[in-house]
Amino acid sequence: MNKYVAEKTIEERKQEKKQRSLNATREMIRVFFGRGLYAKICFGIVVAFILVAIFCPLLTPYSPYEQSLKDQFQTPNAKHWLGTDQLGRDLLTRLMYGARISLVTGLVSSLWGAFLGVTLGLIAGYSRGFAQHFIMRCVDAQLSIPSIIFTMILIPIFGATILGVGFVIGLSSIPGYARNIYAQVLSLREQDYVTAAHLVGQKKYKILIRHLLPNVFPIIIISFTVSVGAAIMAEAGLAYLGVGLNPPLPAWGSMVSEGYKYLTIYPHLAMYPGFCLMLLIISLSIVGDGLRDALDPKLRGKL
Amino acid sequence: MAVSSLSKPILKVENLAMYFPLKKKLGSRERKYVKAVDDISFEVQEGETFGLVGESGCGKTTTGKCILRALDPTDGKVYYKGRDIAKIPIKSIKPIRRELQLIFQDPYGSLDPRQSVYSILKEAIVSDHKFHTRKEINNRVEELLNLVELDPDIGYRYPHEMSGGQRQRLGIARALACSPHLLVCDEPVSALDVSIQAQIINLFKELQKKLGTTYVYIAHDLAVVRHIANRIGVMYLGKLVEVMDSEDIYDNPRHPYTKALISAVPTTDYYIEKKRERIILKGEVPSPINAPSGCPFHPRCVYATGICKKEMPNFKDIGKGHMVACHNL
Ligand SMILES: Nc1ncnc2c1ncn2[C@@H]1O[C@H](COP(=O)(O)OP(=O)(O)OP(=O)(O)O)[C@@H](O)[C@H]1O
Ligand code: SF4
Ligand SMILES: [Mg+2]
Repeated sequence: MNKYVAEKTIEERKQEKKQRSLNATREMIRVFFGRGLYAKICFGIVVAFILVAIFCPLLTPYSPYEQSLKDQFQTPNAKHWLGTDQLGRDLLTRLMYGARISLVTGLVSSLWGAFLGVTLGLIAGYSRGFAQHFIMRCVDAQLSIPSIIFTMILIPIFGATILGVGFVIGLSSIPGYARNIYAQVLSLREQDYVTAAHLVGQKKYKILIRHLLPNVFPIIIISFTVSVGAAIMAEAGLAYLGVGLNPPLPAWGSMVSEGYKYLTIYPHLAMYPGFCLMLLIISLSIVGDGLRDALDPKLRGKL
Repeated sequence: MAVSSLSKPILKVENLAMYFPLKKKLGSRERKYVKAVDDISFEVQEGETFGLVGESGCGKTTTGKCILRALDPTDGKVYYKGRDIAKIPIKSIKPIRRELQLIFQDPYGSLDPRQSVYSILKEAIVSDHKFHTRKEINNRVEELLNLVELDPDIGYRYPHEMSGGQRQRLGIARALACSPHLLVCDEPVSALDVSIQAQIINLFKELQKKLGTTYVYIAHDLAVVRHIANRIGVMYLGKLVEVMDSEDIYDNPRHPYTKALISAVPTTDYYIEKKRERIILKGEVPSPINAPSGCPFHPRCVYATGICKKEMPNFKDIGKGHMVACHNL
């Protein structure tokens, strides 16, 4: 009866499936790195920052806190590759530990913000009536408060620690996620495949998880990388203003603000951390673009 | 027709209406509506195919979705197996949800781009919320793929890796996974190449023979509908203007709009083609927002008289189940 009697054995099928998923992974990597030299360099920079952040205690003989007044304001030399600051601390060491602080606050706040923001956006977009309007009005209300003021008010409440600052910056990033996802879901829920899933009897929450969430995933990824960058910037800004992480913690923002006082004589004190900040944020956003394309099955093979 | 009066209809639509509200304009007091479907009635017998034809935008898709309760109709009744499902709460529709399925106009849009063939079918199979072993599911997937004549090795593919015809076959397989009793096929071939259209249409015919599913087949191609349907309904601007047996559509069309539609279909027979009387429709299709008063067809109708502008003609039987809505009959 059957026109297409399976000619392949189960072993062969398994082999084929493996091959397919291998090809898919390869394809994803190809798209990701196929965006030219720029993307590769930026990816390298982000990876380097992450490695440094993880392994900084092994990479430097100095401590970021140890002061030595006789070594103040050294210019780059063999002992201190990037020189020392106003308290004689090794600048390179402080930059390395600063990368750790920046990346951890960036990640903590973005993960937390993405989790809440995406959940709220999905629920608001998919439910009609009260939940939709309630959530979106709350989001609008929060958006009407400048996030710098929002964070400055909340940080004293939650504490000026890495976790506290990350938590508050995460809160301030919720509206961005929620609105983004909300708009996407509004258009996705009118798609025929969502109707089809309804018609076969799929449960509502499963449609949310199995169809809507995967299809907004590229948006989540790109918002995530953008928001890691924004959170790092926000953390640095707060530290610079003196309301975030406080000295002697080697946060890049407070390093800029301390070094700023000596800008005319020793410009490198403020310039190095500022430069690191810029480099990391630009690289992150370019890596985000690449990730989005690599994750989109429709774009695959077309770039 | 004799047959239709004997058997019991699986689907009976009475005065179905679907109005989409438009956004209010600033300062205007009354709310305007798109009358996508306006007061239509018809019956479909079990195991039959009911064809629904009409120009683009006349409300065919909306009718189809209202029948399946994929849309909540504004008004009217939809009797499915004798029970009105148009207004019952969406929860109480669950037991029959899977018996009513839809084949989409755009096969690509109806498939989640992030799901493989296997996972699309698996979802359709397990969504009845009963227990299935893995083996059962795999067997059923294979069975479905065979049914729609797809190679079982296609299971790992994603929709964007498939041809249009394969996608539509997959859409059909997904609907069949629910063992539907009533299948609404919404222009299932209009997005496909001509060479593939015939294959899919024949697949529909074969499946009906095998499974005995009732079809509501929507199309704007008369020849296709004539080929597949037992009875045909002609829609114009949200209204059903004529319902007849499918043999009658070429031999005995009565409504002026149906006649105009037929005259637009070229035939391959040279002599008939030469004699063919061509009625060219004048003017545009009016918008369903400001539908004309009286008979919706009157601005374009060559037979229109005074009464046509004022009064909507009744939908009346002119013998043997041939229904027409026109004052001049
Ligand atoms: N969700 C909606 N909101 C508002 N108006 C709608 C909606 N869906 C359909 N319409 C309108 O209802 C009318 C009928 O649409 P429908 O899709 O049923 O037409 P159709 O006969 O299927 O046309 P086609 O052959 O192009 O598919 C159109 O004027 C359309 O603009
Ligand atoms: S009712 Fe009048 S306008 Fe309408 S189709 Fe008949 S003749 Fe034409
Ligand atoms: Mg349509």
